[in-house]
Amino acid sequence: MQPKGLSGNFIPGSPFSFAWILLISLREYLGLGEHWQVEPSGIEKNVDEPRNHPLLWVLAIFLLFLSVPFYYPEGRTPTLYYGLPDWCWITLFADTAFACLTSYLVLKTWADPSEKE
Amino acid sequence: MMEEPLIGGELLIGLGAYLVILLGIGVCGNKARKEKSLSDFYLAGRSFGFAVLFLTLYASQYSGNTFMAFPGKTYRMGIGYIYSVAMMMSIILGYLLFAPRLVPLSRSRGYVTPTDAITDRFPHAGVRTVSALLLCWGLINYVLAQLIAMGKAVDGMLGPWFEARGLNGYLIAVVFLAFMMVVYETLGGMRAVAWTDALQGILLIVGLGLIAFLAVTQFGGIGQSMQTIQSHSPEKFIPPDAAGCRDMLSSIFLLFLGGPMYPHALQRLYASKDVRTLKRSLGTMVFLPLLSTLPVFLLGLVALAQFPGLTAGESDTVTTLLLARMVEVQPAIYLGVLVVFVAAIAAIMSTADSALLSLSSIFTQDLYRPTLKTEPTQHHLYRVGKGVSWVTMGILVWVASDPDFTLWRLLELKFEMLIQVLPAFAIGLYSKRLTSNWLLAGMCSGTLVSIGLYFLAGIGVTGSPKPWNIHAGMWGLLINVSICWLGIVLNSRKS
Repeated sequence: MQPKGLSGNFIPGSPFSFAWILLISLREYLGLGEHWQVEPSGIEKNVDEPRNHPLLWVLAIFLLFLSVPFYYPEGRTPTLYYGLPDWCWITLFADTAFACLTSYLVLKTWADPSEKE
Repeated sequence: MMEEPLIGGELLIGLGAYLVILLGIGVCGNKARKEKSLSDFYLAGRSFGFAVLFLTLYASQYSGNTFMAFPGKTYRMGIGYIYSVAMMMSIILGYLLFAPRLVPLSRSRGYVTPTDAITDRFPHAGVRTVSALLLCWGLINYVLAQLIAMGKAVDGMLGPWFEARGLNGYLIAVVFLAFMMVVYETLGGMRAVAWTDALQGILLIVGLGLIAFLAVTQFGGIGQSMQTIQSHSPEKFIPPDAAGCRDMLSSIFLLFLGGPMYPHALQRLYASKDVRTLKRSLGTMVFLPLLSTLPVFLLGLVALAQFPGLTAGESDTVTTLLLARMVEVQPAIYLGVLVVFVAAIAAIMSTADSALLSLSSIFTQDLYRPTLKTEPTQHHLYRVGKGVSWVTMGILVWVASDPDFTLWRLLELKFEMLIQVLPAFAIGLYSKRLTSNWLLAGMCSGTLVSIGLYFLAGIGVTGSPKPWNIHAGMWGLLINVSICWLGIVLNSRKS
């Protein structure tokens, strides 16, 4: 299956076609795009869902990374603030931001077809 | 004459009262049953509203691990275990990889088990059997871990009381509480389990809040505990190095991708009244680690400051040690300790009963049913499912009667297997070019890689089952999804 506008350039057997297949399969693998007909039938296509917002996923994954102190300079002694070391507060901030973002993804980007009805 | 232990009879009375309520709920669940079918028994007729769905999702997700294994792990690892908060939150993000497609399909096509969805998309006996076995493996480990946690919790609190009477508290707790669980579960099925979960969820929220408050206020605040840790265990105070950080990230991603594969949680997605209810439940659940995982992390830190020098096995009981210490220091808080203790038992039972119910459904529907030559009646399957619950629990109680692992070890092995099923949902529901053979090849290879890495580490060929501090299951998943992608690439070329 080829996206509109590019089908004219598709030459079977050329290196381009192989790259093209990789691209298509990657898109299909990630579940991006609207043109995938999926078995079994009964799936609502063209309905918004969290997977259609890759930037928000990148941000969510970044926040998961931020919850781990890989950025902390080796050998530095942590300073305590209200009983917890400084980097723990960054972790808790990242966790809270992650929870807010995930909640947004659940509530705002997951369209429920039955709600429209 | 032996002195009467400080904690004893009253705690047993509190526990007894709680168990009587659970049995009552089991009977009510039985009365509310509409028909003797798998869908009604295992999914309560897909009728859960927000309150029940939210509490059952919460109570079945937060388990003996929350009360027993997490403080134990904090004790062993130190302050670095704060990543457990992100780890528990990430499970909700994991659901978003496939739930928006799976949930409407589960309703329109009448799925009962997670494997039903896989088999509908990949009608292949091998895919069905392998995925059902992987899910069962995860569930068996999980129920076993809960039974051990249950025994340790009761033994930790009431051990001296039982000892004074010449009894084995651990064994009595495992056998008796497991028996109670199977009774109310087989009486009322998913309805009874979810309603008891609702009660257990409320107890859990109250209990966790209370225990964190007590732990922090009774022992001079978290700041004092941190200073104590800094002086006697400085290695548990400093942030982890690069290898430690990779290990943490690997754990987070193991739960992000493996946690949503809990079959009992997937069945709760099926059992929701509608998508809106489910969205509200998940959207709220993602904040709960701040109120559940964070308090038990703080509890683990207080325990580390109070009881230095425990062994790995002993560290799994720091929660009960701390509760017992609180009563010694301040007898007036006995009632609060009783609530926390019952909440801990509730957390464990709510997860174990959910996992057991799910195990029975997968065995009946996906492993037993396909072996029959004629289509069985719903009533027959319903009876088989109940029988499976009794037999499985019997075997697991026997295994749990002699535990040699720490709880965390069991948890690790569980996700190594569960995570291999993810591509069936996260790729299968979104790509028509992924075929059954490629998926099966991916799942089998991923599982073999995971088990192989553990095996090699076990016989001493490699030092650790985590090459480059990444869990074996993650390496397995990498192979698994690579094979799935290869299948998609080759199928794209064909077409």
